This record gives sequence, structure tokens and C-alpha cells, in this order.
Amino acid sequence: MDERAMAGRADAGAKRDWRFAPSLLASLPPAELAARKAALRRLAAAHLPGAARAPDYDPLPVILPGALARRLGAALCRRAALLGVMIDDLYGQRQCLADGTVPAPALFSAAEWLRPMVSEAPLSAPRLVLYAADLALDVAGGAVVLRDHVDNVPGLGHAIALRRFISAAMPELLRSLTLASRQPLIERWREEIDHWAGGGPVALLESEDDDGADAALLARVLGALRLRPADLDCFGEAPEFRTLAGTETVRLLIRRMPATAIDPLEQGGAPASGVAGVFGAIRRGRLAMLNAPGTGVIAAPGVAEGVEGAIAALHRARFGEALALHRAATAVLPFAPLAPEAGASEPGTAPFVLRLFALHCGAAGWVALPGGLGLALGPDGRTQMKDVFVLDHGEDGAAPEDMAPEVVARAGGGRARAATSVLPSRVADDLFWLGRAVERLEAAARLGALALDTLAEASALPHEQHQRGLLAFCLAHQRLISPDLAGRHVAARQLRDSLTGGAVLGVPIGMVRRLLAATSDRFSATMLTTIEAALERVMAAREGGMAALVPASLALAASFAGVIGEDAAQDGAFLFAELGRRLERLFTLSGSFAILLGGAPTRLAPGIRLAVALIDAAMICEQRYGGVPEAAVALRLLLGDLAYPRSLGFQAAALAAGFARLDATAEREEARAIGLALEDASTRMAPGAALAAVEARAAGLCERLTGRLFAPPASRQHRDGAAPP
Amino acid sequence: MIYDLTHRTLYHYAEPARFARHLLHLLPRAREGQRVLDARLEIAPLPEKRFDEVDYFGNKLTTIALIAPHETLEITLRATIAREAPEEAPHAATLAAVREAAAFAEFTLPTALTEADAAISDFASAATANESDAFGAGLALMGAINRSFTYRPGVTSVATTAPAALARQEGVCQDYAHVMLAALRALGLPCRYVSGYLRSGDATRGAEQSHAWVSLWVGPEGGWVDFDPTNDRVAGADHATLAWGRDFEDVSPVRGVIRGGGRHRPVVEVAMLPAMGS
Repeated sequence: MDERAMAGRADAGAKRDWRFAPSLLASLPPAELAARKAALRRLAAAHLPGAARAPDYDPLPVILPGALARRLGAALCRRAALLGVMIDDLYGQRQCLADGTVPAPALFSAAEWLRPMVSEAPLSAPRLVLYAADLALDVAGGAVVLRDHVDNVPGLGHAIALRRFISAAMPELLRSLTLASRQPLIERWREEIDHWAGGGPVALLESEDDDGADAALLARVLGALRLRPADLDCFGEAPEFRTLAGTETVRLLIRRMPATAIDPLEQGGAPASGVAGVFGAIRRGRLAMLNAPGTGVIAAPGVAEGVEGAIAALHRARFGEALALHRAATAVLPFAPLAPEAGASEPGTAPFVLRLFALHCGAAGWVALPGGLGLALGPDGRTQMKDVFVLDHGEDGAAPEDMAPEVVARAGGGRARAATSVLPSRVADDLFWLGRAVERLEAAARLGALALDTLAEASALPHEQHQRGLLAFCLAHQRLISPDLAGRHVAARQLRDSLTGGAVLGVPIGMVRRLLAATSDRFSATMLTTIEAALERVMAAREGGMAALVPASLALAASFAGVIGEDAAQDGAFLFAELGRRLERLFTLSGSFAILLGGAPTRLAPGIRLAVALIDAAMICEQRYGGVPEAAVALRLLLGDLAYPRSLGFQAAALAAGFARLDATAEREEARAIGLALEDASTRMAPGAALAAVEARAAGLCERLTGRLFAPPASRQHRDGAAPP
Repeated sequence: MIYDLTHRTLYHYAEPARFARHLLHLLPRAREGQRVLDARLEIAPLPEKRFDEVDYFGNKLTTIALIAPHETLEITLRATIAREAPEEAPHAATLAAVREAAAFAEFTLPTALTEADAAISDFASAATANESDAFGAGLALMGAINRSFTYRPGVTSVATTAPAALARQEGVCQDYAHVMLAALRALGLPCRYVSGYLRSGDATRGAEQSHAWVSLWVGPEGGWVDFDPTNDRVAGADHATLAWGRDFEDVSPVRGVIRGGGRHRPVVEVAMLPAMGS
């Protein structure tokens, strides 16, 4: 039994449209379908940077005739409403316990029963706002519920976003069908959550185990932030998170983590696993959490059965008819076609369940999403997600959503959407270190390349030995070679051998990879692709040793600088990556210059030549001065020239400007002071000590920045006072 | 009898606590036989935020947040409590009748700290083999625990479970209470953990500190009766109730999440003395 026949029996009037899918299937050969499937997944992966893996999408949709979708949607909304009534009763009067509908032992022993969430006063938002049900359709067009999703509701992001990917990968499919739009509902729901958010940001609260792809897609649809528990503190009445501009209060969290570990203060567990104080904020109406913690209890074993009986009775009492969507422990699943994987010769079929979603829209009540997800069990045992098309005209020509009249803007046109251009400190921290890592890679590549160039024609002449010694000290200082190799009489061959393979760049390359993955959702797909492509070239160049790695690393650094220069990283992210770059450049160059320029004034010339080469300033020297200038002029260029982007003074000035944007007054003043110290050093003929001091101050600046603006230290939990010690 | 009660908890942090949020079950609740004439919490440093609520079990719950760095935290309860002893032994229902009553099902279920193992079930059955009503079962179990256990501070912790405590046969009031709770629940009887205080100065265990005992529902007429297994006596006018729950976890007097602070150990002082003229 496939969905075409099933829908055909349910709504004969829709057969004309319903049979479109087979004709499409017939028009696309298996190899082409397999290619489309691969393209769909590539497309999704490109839009889901940082996801553990690309979602298992299938390009062939489940198609629901309008009348069937309308009927299922209405039943779904009624079921959601009644489940909401039961949740309110359990966390309020508990009449269902008194009348024996729900067995007390089952309720009280359920892990999902959260006593701290019992509250006589209503919460600031309904407890149940997001609902989904996994349905098994039957041959008569009816359906039974195999599972209620009343706690976390997985798949909503996929359900909404998959259409866009399908339209790109299967354009002919959408050209020939008119589908019910989900946009009115999404817009309406966004208005509602803005209302619950009280004008503040809307945020998803995620755990490490969350489906990052689903969360990312949902966050984009809602314009929401993605936060983890460690981002939030509950200092006062509501949780806050650190941003560029200080702290931002959150009044609405869309919960993506299990309810059993949200508030370590009231639930126990590791403080980092949740947000201490968040239950109190919910109880006092200072925070809306969607869904409220504890809603999952109505699906707990032993409770669910009682709830099912109760909502059936409620349904009959309210509507005078039997519950249209009821639970079944098992059901015979219908089959849906599956596009072939690459290499397969024919499309397959697989049993599937239909996941439909309903959203609570405040005064408008529950509204079903026109569409959903088809979850088919692929031949490899993995679940493949299919879009659910709801045809926009059925037998009666009506729109499929019976909610359509209700989906109107809130009175007064709704609130202005809150600005969500805030950057959680964790993300800022990662971006800052990404900037540092890219710069560290570039600095290591430049220093390594300079060393290899210098060593290429090594001789025993004293000045060349001196240069070799200086470079060896620099390399050791930057931890690119063993300290044992640092010394004035180091053999050129030893240095070359330690650098040629390029292993010295392994650490910064690894850092860039890790941090890019951690921050990838801050970049647009195009910009991320640019950086990732450059990074892939670096990875590929590893086999070619330092000679191949240097140009690839410099190209990566240039790509990164270009991308953040285009402000691809949103919401101030650019600023943190830029601060990271400038601070790292100040730190590493001041350290290297302290060595290169640390000799006596009479022996500065070799070091200056190396310093000029290190920052790639030979060309500007040639243009301005006809070659490497005398020491005083060169020091001015290297240390104090605010117009030259590779000078140390430029880095200090850029840092001061960045800190000013952050209102980080103390850090700005320190950057200015470093700039003044560099200006002073640029006038001395022995600036080594001053530069070493600058290096130390740059390190201190990094520590201060980390402590003041970035992620707070971990908390600890205690329970005291009961038992005598 | 009217008591003046003082309960002082002092934390000295090895390094400043930069932020702290605490839940306090430190304001006594009223109950049958107990009136709270006055109760207030003095907290130093003064918390930036304080919220007072009633928790799921009807206890008074105070939440405080301290945002400024602090090296000490002192929380002092000062209360005046009127306490009356029950006049006579309660009318207790049969064990079977108490088991069948569904109203207090929540207190018949085991918790993480009071999950009975075979040893506790055997202990409960043996101790109550000759008892037919709930009050008698409570007395028998209380006596059996008291005789089996050695009161020894420092050998157990707030995380010690009832089976672990029974295996050691030593511990403090919390351990006595948890073993009795586990045993009563193994018998299907509703019971709850009570935190509170014991009159100072008597030759009792658990005075001058936080105390804990067990409340057992003995039937619709007798209601809840408190048993103090640490001292082998039915709790009466010498006991002042602070809060109750299923076990210690529901009513720990102070629990919190702090940032910084380093090592710390609370110093607790309790005095429950008859009020002047009482």
C-alpha cells in the first residue's frame, strides 16, 4: 500500500494531482533520481555548516490531498488542545488523579514528572505550545497516533526548511503543483513568540545531544539565537547571556534539551548541564519556555494510557463525537517510494510514518502546519526524511488549512520584531580564537618560509650564522622547533629537516578546523564555502610539505581576512575574529621582533632584514626607499607606522578601535598604551626589551579579554545543612 | 510550649564566590500542633535578589541570589514557634487499610535515597511481623532501627542511601530516617522525611543541629504521626518541623550553585530553647 493509493481512496477528487508523482517518477530515470537525491543532500549540507552530518533527505515527497490534510490537521489540533488541558490539570488541580483517570504511582514515579513545575499561577505562556504526532495512515484515509511529541518536538526545522531544498533539487516537481503555503502560519507563530518574548530575543536552548541541523534550520526560520546552558546565567529574575554590549535578558526559550536536566539548582546534576534558577523564573512568569519543562510526563509509560482515555472522554463531551486521532500501540505502515541511492538501479519503497506538527498561536488556538515530515525507514536502517506536500485545491476547491481564517495578524499588527543581533559570549569566544588560529597559522607559515629561504644557501659566514641563530630562536620562541635547536651555531641542515615536512603547522591547522566547525553557523553558506575550500587546499597541501603548505596557508589567511572583511560573520562576529587576528599578530610579531631586533645597535641590520622579510615588507621598502632602509627608518615602518597594516603599531591601533566598539574601556586604554610604547620603541636603536614587554602585555590583554567578555568559569553545586558533619 | 529558635549557617569560602544562587528550606511551616509565631531570615551579605514561594510539598522556599563577590555567607533563622504534643496515641488503621488508601501514593514510592533492597525489605518484615496497625508498625520499626544503629557523625554523607546506611548500621539522623522511610515504603506505607529541630539541652541525639525524622500516615483518623528513630521516640512537643518531603533531597536546608568560592565547609549552629515565660 503506498501513499498514492491511500490518498486516492480518501479523496477521489484529488486523484488528478495525486497521480502526478508517478508520472514524475516515470520521467526521471533512476540514475537521475539518485543524482537529484545526492544533490539535495549536498545542498542541505551546504546550508547546514557545523552539523554532524548532512540530513538524510529523500527528494520524493509524500503528497496529501487538501481534504485529507485538512481533516488530519483539524484532528491534530483537537488532540493537541486536549493534551494541553491534561498537562494543565496535572500541573495544577490534578483532578485526573483524584478521579483515578491517571494512576498516581505511574505519575509520581515518572522521571518526566517535575514537581518544581507545579504552579497554581498560570505561566507566561501555555505549557504546551509545540506538538507533533507520528501517524500511521490506513487504507481508509484514517490515521492512528503512534507517538505524541509533547516534550521536545523534533523535526520542525527540517519540516519547514526541506521545501526550499526540494524546490532547488526537484524544480519540475514544484512547477507542476500548487501547494498550500506554510508561510501564513509561520509568520503568525513568529508574532506569537515575539509576544511571549516580551520584545526581547527569541532563543533556542540546546544541549550537546540536540539535532544541530534541525535546530539550525528552526533558528533561521524564527530568527532565533541558539544558546547552550553554559551561555546563560540567572542572576536576577530571568536568564541572561553575555553579548557584545553586556548582558541580554531572555524572556523566551524554545527548549531543545531534555526536561530532566534543565535547572541544576532544583533538579540536581552538574551545574553546567543546565541553568540554575530557570525553574523559578518560569514559575514567576519571568520566562516562557516552549514547551514548559515537564510536559513530557503525559507520554510517560502508565500515564499515557490514562491520558488517552481522558482525552477521548473530553473529546466526546466537548465535540459530541469520538476522538478522531487516537493512539495505537502498533499499526500497519503504508509504503512510500524512495529515490535510489547512488549506484542503485531502481527506486525502492519503504514503510513510513507521517509526522504532523501543530503550533499554539495564542488567541487563535492550535494551528496545524500544512505539511510535515514523512519518515521512511531506508534499506540501510536509517530514517530518511521526506517533505509532505499538501495540495492547495481539493475536491471542494477549498484551501487545505481550516485554520486559514484564524491565521491573521495579531491586533495592532503585532509587535515589531525584536532585534536579535546579539552574539552570545561563547560564540564570540570561539570567533576570537578562530581569528587567532588563522593568524597563528599565517605567522607560522611566514616564519617557516623565511627560515627555509634563508637556510637554502647556508654558509659558515658569520653574518649568515648570526641570521640562522636569530631565526632558530624565533622558531623556538614560537614553539615551531625544539628549544634544543635554538642557538647561534645551529646547523642549517638540522633546521631545514625540522621544518621541511611542515609538521610545525599541524597544530594551528587543527585549531582552525575545530574552531571553524564550531562557528560555522555564523557564516553564510557562500562565505563558509570559500573558507572551507581554502582549508581543504591546506589539508591537501600537507603531503607536499612546507613548500606546499606555505602558499596554501597564506591563501587561507587571505580568504579568511577577505570573508570577515565582507562582514560575512554576522552580528558583530567580524569584530571578534578581527580582534583575534590583530591580537595574535601583535603577540607573535612582537615576540619575533624582540629577538630579531634585540641585538646591539651595531648589529641590527641582519635582524631588520629578516623582520622586513617576515612581514612581507620588502616590496614597500623597495617602493618607498629603494631597498631595506637604514635602521631608524626601518624601525619606524616595522613598529610605529599606523598606516602600514603589518606594522605592530597598526595592530595596536586596530585593537584600540575594536575595544572602543565593545565599550571595553580598560582594554582600549591598554591597547592605546601599547601603541604608545611601540611608538617609543620605534625611535630607539635597541628596541628588544621594549618589544618583549609588548609581547607580555599582549598576552595579558588576551587574558583580560577572555575573563571579562567571554565564557564565565564553571559553577559548582552544593547541598548542605541536613546531616551533621 | 513556645520556643525561640536560632539556626545559623556560616560559609567561609577559600576564595571569593563571584556569584551564588541558593535555595533555602529554612522558614518553618505551620502544621497541626505547630504554630509559627514569628520567623525571619537574616542573610549577610544581603542578597541582591530574594524570592519567597511555597514549594510542591507546601514548604516555605526561599531563593536568594548573590551577585557581588563575597568571602562569607551567613544565613540565620530566628523564629518563635508554639508546639503542642499530641494528647494521646493516635487511632491507627490496619496496615492493609493504610496500604489501600491512595491519597498519599506519592509517599509510598521509593526515591533514589530510599530505594529498598532485599536487606531493607527483610528488616522491615521482621521488625513488624507482629504488628497489625500502622502506628504499631512505626513504633516497632523505629525501635528496631534505633537498636541496630550506632549514632556516628562523619561516616556518611548527604548522598548516602538507605541500603548503604543499613549495611553500615551507623550514621546520623538523616540515615536513620532514610532507612525507616525505605522500610515503611517497602511495606507499602506512606511516609515522609521531616527536617526540623530538637529541643536543646536534653540528652538526645540531634539537638543543637539540624535534625530529621519520619512522619507516617497511620490512617484517616490518626493522620500523620512523627517518629524519631534517632532517639526512639514519637516526636512531640520537643520537635519543631521545618519542612517535609519524600527524602532529604526535597528539603535540604541550603542547596546552591556557586561560581568560585573554592573549598568551603558550612558551620551550623542551632539552638531551640523555651521562650522566656513559656
